[in-house]
Amino acid sequence: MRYKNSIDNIILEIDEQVEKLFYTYVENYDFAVESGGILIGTLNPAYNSVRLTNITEPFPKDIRTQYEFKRSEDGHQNAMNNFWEQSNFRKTYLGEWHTHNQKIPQPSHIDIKNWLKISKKKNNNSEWIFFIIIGTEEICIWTIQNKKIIKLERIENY
Amino acid sequence: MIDLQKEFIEFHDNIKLDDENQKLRDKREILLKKLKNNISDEAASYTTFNQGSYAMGTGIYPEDEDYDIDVGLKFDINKDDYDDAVEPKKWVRDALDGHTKHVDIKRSCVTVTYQENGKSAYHVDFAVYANDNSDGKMYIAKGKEFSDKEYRYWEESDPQGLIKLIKNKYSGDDAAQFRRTIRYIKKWKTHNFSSVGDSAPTGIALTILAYDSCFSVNKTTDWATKKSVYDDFSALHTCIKNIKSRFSYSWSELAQQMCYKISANLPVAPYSNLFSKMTDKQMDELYSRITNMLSKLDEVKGKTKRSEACTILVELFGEEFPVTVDKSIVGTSESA
Repeated sequence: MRYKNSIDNIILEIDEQVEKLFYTYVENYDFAVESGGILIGTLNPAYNSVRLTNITEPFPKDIRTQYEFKRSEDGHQNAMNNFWEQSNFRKTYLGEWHTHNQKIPQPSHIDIKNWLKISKKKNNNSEWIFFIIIGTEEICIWTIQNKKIIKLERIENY
Repeated sequence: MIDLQKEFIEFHDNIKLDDENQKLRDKREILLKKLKNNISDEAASYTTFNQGSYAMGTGIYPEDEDYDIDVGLKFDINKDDYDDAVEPKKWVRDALDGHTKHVDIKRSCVTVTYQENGKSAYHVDFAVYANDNSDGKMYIAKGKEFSDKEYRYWEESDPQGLIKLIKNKYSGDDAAQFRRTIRYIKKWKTHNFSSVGDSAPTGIALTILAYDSCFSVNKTTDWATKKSVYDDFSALHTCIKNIKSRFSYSWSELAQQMCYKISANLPVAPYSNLFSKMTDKQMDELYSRITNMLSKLDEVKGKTKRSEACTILVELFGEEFPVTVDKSIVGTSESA
């Protein structure tokens, strides 16, 4: 699955296993409480693309209610470290995902504030940070460019 | 700056193509066998040797052009007995003809081209030499089949002497860094110039620049382990800086403008200028690309993030350069 930011033509490629995992949420998740985690992948500047290879799923210290998902550092940082080491130091943090009990998901004000804050971080390895919301029917992806939220378009199936 | 030695070594592993490569060996052996079985009885006896970048340990995988294998054929003939230097080349052409799609007598060799999926997949260049001359020197057969007589001649040549010079310039791990640096520069060239035309410098021209004092070994000693620690980035940076300063700025009659020009002579016979096929304008363009490379390398020096340094190096060398990243700090996140 490939997604494109039409403004800067940055391409986000999502590995099949990650896509499948997302669709398991769309199809099977009850959305009683929100789920979420971090996005992990590699940078491919030769093709102006970023590849999403792994995600983390909720850890016990995350706070999950019907309308919020507060991700803690616990568990996610460790998982990130492992992916980094096992990939010969190629895999990096690429952003966040969470679920919404909406057909076509829309970011809330809290989400937008959170995304802008995360994108501004000086220690991000990737110039591009992505945010994914999984709804009950659709999956939507956004990125931040010049402090603006831009939705990515799906360009190609596997 | 960031230590990028591991990345450079991995990059080198990704691009290097050497004589150990089984595919290349196989192709060469098949053709040499065909040559042996089919060469006419009138042809003189010969011995073979490997020449070119693979033999020197400076070969790289081609980016869009096909693989190029260089073989030398030393015929036991006296050049004075062969007024027409193309005659021994015909022995080779005729022996290999019919086995492949293209066998051509080119100016400096006989080229056999193999096709895969309608595209040239690899070619083997056979250089033909007269090796039993009264002066004890070796001569290469120059000219095409229907060239005018003045373009068919014998030229003194010492390809094995050249290989020896390159191979013996340094020894051990220093020699390995020398070869790696040459491969980095050749890869930069392949990535930044199109393969058609003479606008790009040849691989051997770049190799000789490195050989001829532009390269110097860059290593330090780890006091704890007493081992040498090589710094390929700095070796490359210095080499490019030195190549840049080899250019001279002068008036070009041909281009009617000031141009940066460069020359480098082959350190063995025929001692020719390896940049002679480039026009003044092309050399001037090479200068600006070398300058650009140097400023990109300077930029890398100033980077504190691994991903940013690697991104610039990918731009210079292509996707074979690995993109590593610093440890990620995931922090916390609040969604609703």
